[in-house]
Amino acid sequence: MQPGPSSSHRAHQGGFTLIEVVIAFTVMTIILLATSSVLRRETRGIAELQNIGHSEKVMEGAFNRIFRTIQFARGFTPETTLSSTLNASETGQIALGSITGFPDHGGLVVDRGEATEEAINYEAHATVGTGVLTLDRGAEGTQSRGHNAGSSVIWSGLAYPIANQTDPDPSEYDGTTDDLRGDIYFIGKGLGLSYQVPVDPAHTGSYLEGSEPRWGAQVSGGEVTGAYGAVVYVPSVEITEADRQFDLNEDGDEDDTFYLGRVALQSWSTDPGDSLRVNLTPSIILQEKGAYGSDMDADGFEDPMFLWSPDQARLRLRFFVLTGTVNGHEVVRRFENIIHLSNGSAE
Amino acid sequence: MKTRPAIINRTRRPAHRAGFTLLEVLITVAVLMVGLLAMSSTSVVVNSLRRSASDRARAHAAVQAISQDLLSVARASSEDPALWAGEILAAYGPDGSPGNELPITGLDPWEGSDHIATVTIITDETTTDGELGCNLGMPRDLDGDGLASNSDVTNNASLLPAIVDVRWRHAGGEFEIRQAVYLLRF
Repeated sequence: MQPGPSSSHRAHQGGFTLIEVVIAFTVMTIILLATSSVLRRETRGIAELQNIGHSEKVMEGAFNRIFRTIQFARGFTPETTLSSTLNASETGQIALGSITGFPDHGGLVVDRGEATEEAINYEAHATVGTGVLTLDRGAEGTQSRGHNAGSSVIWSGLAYPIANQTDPDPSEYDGTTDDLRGDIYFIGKGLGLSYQVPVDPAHTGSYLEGSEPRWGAQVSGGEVTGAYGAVVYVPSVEITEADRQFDLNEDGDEDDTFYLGRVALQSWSTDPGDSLRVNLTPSIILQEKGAYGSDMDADGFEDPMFLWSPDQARLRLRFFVLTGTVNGHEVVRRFENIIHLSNGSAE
Repeated sequence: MKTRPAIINRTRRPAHRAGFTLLEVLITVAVLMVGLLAMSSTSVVVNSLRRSASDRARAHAAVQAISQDLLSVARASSEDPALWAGEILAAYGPDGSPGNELPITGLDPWEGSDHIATVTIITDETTTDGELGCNLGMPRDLDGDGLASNSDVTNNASLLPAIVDVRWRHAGGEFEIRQAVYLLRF
């Protein structure tokens, strides 16, 4: 009997053996897995880079907005004295010599640089007399203490260069910061700057009242003569290096605690209800908890966010921003600029 | 009924069972490798583009910071016409502190250079825009005497043009931003 066509056909079309199919599937699976792994990694990498790019854009936008807001401003250096004795247990009101340039809510430092130094947070300006109300005593790790009338008071947002820049005694300053024109000894924490800008609430077409600018600020109801504004740092989220397993300030340990916060424009007038806060950034700006203005990049210099030089009408801005992560590593970037306030410093 | 010659079976069967040649396998692997490499280089390209944009933003910020600082120095300098320009040059002149050549953190200098930013303060009224390579409206009167003939206005300037030049390098390319600033004596 001759072989039939079907058996001849089977012999010619032998197809794949099981082992060939298994090998082919294995190879294809390996290639597919490798391809999808590469694709996943690429997609994640590109998304991470886009996040960083977005954070950089946000900060550029914030700098531009701050520049536009205060380039014609006059800056304040909010310093005063206690106008009466302050008891250690007082939580109602502090009487101050002046509240010019002090935001309608914020913080004070009494007896800065003394053994009795105390940080005090307040929630409002006094409606009767000159002072601030609703106190949180012994803030930022300080102790609530009694203070004599005449004790020095500065707004906790303020940081400015001391007069003696040549080898000062350590008691004269809070820190040294590197700057474009050399190192600067400064006092304060550097959380903001308060200012007034020329305003024209009545839309007269002129920002002058006589020969002087009509000073004020943009508040909730529009421009108001006599109102004030401040660029401020607002902490919002607490994070720890231990939780993130990352040394955010490059100081060689992972046991520091930080705030992630935003930069905002805050403004207020004599009307307590006339207050406005506009956020300029999301909460991506780092500051060490309990050590505002401390060294953020382990270069040996302190890094106040706002450094105001009244005699030069110069505001230096320096922010350390948690821009995102790349391959699981946090990326902290330093953003810095200088703004010259063309109307100088308020007397 | 015809039967197929045995010789046909012998010659065709090996052809059917030949599988892939070495060349085919190599080409396939090469194509796959090229594809995978192309995919893995995407993030390198994206990162390079992001870094390029980031460097440019940093350079712009540096130009702005130096320009604004020049204005601050000019404001804080003496109102005395004999001293004003000298005090500005004591900061941003070639022999000043910090001087007219500045490093900028995060940017790489041009090949053969050790600094990123250069500040040029013009004290010669007779200098031309062509010589400066910048549109400053030079030559011009800088000391208020109605003439543009003084070759050194350091002791009596009322206006000083300055050029802030930032040069940086990235991915083999060299980039530059120049900005003019006018400093006025208050």
